[in-house]
Amino acid sequence: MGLGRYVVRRLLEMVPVVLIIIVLNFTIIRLAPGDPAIVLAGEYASKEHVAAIRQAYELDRPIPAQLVRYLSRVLQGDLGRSYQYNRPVLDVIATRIPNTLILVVTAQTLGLIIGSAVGTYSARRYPSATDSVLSFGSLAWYSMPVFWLGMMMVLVLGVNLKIFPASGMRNVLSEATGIGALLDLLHHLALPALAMMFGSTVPVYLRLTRASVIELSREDFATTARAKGLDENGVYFRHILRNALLPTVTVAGLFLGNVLTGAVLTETVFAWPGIGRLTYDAVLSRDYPLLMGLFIISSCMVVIASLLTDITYAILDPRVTFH
Amino acid sequence: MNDVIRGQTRGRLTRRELLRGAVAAGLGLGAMVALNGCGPAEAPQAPAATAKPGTTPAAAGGPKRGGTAVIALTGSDITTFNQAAAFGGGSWFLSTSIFGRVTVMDYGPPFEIHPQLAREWESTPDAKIYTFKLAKNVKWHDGKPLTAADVKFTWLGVVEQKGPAATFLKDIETIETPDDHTLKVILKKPDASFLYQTSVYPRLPVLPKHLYEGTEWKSNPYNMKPVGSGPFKFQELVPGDHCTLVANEEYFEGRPYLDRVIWKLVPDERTALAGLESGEFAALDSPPSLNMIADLRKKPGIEVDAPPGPWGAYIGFNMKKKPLDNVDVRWAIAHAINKEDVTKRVTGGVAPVSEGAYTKGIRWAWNPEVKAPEYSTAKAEELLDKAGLKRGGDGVRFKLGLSFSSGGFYDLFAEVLKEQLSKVGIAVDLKPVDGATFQSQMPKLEHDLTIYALWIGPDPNEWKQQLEKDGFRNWFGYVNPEVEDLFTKGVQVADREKRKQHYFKIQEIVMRDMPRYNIFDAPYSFAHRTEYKGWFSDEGTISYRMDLAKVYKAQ
Repeated sequence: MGLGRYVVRRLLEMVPVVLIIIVLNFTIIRLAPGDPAIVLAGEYASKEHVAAIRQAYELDRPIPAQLVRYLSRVLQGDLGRSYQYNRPVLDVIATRIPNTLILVVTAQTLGLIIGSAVGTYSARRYPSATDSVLSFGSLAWYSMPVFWLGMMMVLVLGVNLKIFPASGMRNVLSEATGIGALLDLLHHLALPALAMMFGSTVPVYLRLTRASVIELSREDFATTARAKGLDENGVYFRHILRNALLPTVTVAGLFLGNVLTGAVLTETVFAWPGIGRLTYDAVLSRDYPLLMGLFIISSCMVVIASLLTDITYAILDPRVTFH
Repeated sequence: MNDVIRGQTRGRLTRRELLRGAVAAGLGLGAMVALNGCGPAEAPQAPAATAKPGTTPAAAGGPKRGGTAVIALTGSDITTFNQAAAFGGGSWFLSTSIFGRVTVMDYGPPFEIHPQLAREWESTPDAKIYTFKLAKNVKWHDGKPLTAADVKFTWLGVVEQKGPAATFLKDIETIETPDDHTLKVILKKPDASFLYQTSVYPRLPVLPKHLYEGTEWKSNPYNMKPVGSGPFKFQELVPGDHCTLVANEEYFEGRPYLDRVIWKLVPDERTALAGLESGEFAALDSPPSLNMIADLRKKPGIEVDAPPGPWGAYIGFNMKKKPLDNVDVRWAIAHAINKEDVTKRVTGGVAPVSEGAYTKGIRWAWNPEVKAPEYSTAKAEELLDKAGLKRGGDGVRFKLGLSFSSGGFYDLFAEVLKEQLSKVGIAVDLKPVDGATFQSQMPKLEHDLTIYALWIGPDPNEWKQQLEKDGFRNWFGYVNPEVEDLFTKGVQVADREKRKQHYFKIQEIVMRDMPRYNIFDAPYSFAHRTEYKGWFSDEGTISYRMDLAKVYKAQ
């Protein structure tokens, strides 16, 4: 099967998956306690006001009826209006997605490069003190909760040493444009990206690559390559590393698919205006339409990331074909 | 009496006191009192910071004009600027520097009402007709004049469009505007609390009629690019990141000192406090957690005001459930609570321990004769024995759930109560939930005990929401027609001396019936950098905390 047909087929398979996700999520968040009308009305609203809101948003209708109405709208491409923002859900999400992507893609890419490189370096020195230190160190990093690591970075690098800004994604006092604005963005990106990298991506890729490389370097094909007279670097880079990347790609796909969950803590600690924080706010305020929109987008991302993973597999490993 | 209090405070209060309150709102707190001793000792505020309405700030030798203050918004995202149409926690404070209100209330004692758009007002003795005289030189940010028609349109519109403040205005029968600057509000029935209700909350901004007439308020595009009449004009909103306001050169009370105010969203309180410490932020919009105040005050460059508010942090009893339907059991629990210990541990000594049934912060309405049960585990045990609730073999008499909204000081508050009640044989099961869940669970009356802090002032009529049968914060299942009758009488006359008799009586009854019990008068704190000044007037009564009209950066 050609790549094109394969992609189309996989995308079509997404539809029932996403529909099931919609039905499940819709039901679950409505069964959870908490009433968006009370949140919307504010602390000092009267019962009448709360009831009026409930009616206006059709929250007084039975859940199955609400679900049918919601599904029919979604099928027409309408994700509804956010209760809190009173704007179309897609608009609200669209303003935030680029911010999250900037953060997550940076942390992922650098994490992948650094983690794989250090993992390979460590594996090639296995067993040795260097390898033990790197291996143990990555475990220690990984054990640290991202929010704690983030707070420490804010306090040390942001507040005490003042090397990086502690929060936000731009200097609100700056009116720089062009290159100046880009540098400002990178400056703000440093801490949250580092927190995500060292609290999550670098140690994971490091450990994964290290384990794969150690294992693969004992495989027959590695021995054969060495026997053919290939130098050690050639063995690693042309044979072992290429195979070792397969599990890494799988994990990268999972990471990318879970952008939303992965970024919630980091975005909250660093006041990064992405969809992770939007989700957090939407949960607290029981903004059902916005939450549903985020879940739909998120599930689409998972499916698409898994598709990209499979395609990458085929490129890395000629034995994999599209079926 | 008010004059007496005001006289006493003059010259003694500093900005610290003022402030306090302002904030309150977002969470629902209130503000108030605070007369003394809320912050580190410090010289009184520079007189120059207190230009009177109508004067021009930036006089020689006084505060300087210019500069930008960045304020951390620690609440939720900005979802609307129009608090009249919909509640939006993110712009709760911010909106008050964009929109003017008819009158405003100060957030320290004596909780007076102050002029804003209305320069003077009067009410009839039966509290049924209120007449306001509006300032004549007020312009909207787009240059059009603000008139009584705008106020009339807004107030009637809030009811019609079911805005969050509709409940405060629903008893307006009609509003007459004999001329462009006079507003005569005629109520369907007397309401002595009317002026407080229209002054306390940011949810009653006056809206420009020319931009809202004939529209659905909730979806009006100007909700997100507001045109107000306040000291600062809207310039830019970057969703989820920040909002920039610039000085309104034509503000009718004089141009504000600051050139710009940037409100930056920082949802994590610790991150916001780190920014305050580093000098990145001039202030936090919301109060820092109670248990952080003591430490914050030790940091150089930071000042924290934490006046007691018109709200009590209380324990509530669900009287619909056994054994809490027995008044002896409720009293026993009250006896078993060491309020001093709770207050000290939960608030680091920042809050005053509650006295009596109401809050001392609202002096005129607080009944000093009503005594709370003294701390005595012996008396508690005696009452529980009398109720037939003997200790079992494990020492436990009975079990109760304690439901609360997790976060802030509530978790520690609950832990301490659990520990204290265990001493008299009551096993408490803690049931923390998130805010939205808590709010939806409470009215169902399925819980046993609860803890919460709610406004019960600055007008004592506010307390009604907790104590009348259909009160939307009556989470006790409390029904007492006599109390409801007294609340009704309490607003039927404007004179405070007459009003207070009814509230005094209510306090006697509530202490006797014990549906709820105040533990401490929760403060409403405000943290800011010391180099930013002008949060309060020199009289210590008007807070500029809300609209920032007089805030400036010291050189």
